[in-house]
Amino acid sequence: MPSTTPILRRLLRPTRPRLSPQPRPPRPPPSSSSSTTTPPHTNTPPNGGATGTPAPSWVGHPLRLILTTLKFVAFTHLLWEYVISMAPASGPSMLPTFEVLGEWLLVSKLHRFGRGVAVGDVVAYNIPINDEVGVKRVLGLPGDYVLMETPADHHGADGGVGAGAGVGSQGGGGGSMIQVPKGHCWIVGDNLVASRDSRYFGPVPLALIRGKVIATVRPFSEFRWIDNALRKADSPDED
Amino acid sequence: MAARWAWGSAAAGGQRSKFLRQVSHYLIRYATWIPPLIWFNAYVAQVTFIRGPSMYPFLNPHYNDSLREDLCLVWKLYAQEGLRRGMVVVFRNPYDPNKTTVKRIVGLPGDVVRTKPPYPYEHAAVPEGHLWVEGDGDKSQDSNYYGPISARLVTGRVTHVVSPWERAGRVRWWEHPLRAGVHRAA
Repeated sequence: MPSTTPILRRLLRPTRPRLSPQPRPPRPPPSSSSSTTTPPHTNTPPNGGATGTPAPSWVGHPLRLILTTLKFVAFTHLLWEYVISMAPASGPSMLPTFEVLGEWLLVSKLHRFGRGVAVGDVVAYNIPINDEVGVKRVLGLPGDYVLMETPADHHGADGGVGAGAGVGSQGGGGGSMIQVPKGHCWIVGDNLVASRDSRYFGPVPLALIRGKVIATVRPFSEFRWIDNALRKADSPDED
Repeated sequence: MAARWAWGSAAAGGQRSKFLRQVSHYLIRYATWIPPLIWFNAYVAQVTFIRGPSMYPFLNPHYNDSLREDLCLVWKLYAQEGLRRGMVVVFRNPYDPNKTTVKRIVGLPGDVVRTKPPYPYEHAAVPEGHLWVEGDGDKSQDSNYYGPISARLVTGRVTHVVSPWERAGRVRWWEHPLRAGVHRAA
């Protein structure tokens, strides 16, 4: 106990407020005249830096320095986790939008848990069946009706991989629809034939959505915002 | 705004400004501890109240005759690893991402579970990466309502009961009998 007390006392001792106009005299005041000329040391012992240049006052006690570093790291982590983050992405599932390799995505964590996410947004989400992170486009929100399989391909090619293959062979109009349950969303990649998404593992809980992809920053010269690709279809009657 | 006012009066000098300067200084100093606390609560451990009767009689056994709620320690470090049947886990509700729920793990990936009434089918196979969770009590909205949940939703495990002094201590989930009607995969 007696060994920890001085450390605790030094920790709990209030440092000088940074906006104080005149420096307080050092703790053992030698004389009134020399107090104005000595540089203010808050935490270095009075005779500690006698040999060389003393440590600057903002360095302080090593323990306090460690604590300040930890607090700074925690603050940065907070921003990274709840405001904005950046991560590399790879894979062919979003091919027209993102390239297979070398994409760096800017993710807005303010949209985590699907807050403010609309149909057509690109989101980063925790894949429900393994422990990886995926990037896909939201095609349905709670209450929406979505096609469970790949839309039939009229150009004769295979409809898709996995679950979609059987539907593609049926021709147009096949497939079944479901209503996205509450608290869930329907997520599909842009590259339908090479994407493992809600067609495979079903609706994804909104709690697994990490954030909304707002930009790619790969080389900064090719920076571009990712906007909502949903467009109003032109109906022929309106013309 | 208040800080600016304090700054202005501090520049003017005086006894009150000294007081304000000290108060704002200490407020800022204590505020720097908020990010580490948030990080600790989100990733290491958290002490929370258990609401509702879904884990009756294991947690909140007096929900009918008292307003008292159990206080529990939720351990969040590596929460999604090494999950076993019988563990009491905390996860984000698949129906509402802003709510967290406490349930007991009944089935692991590959298990076939005999379901309870609201579920449309008699048996349910737990898919890969998913869990079948149920409350101990009858009044529980669990996997029988929303089906197997993804293990990625799990945010923590209830490891200790803190508050009712007579039941305080470690949660001995391994001593809890496994639910009947689960065909275990392994």
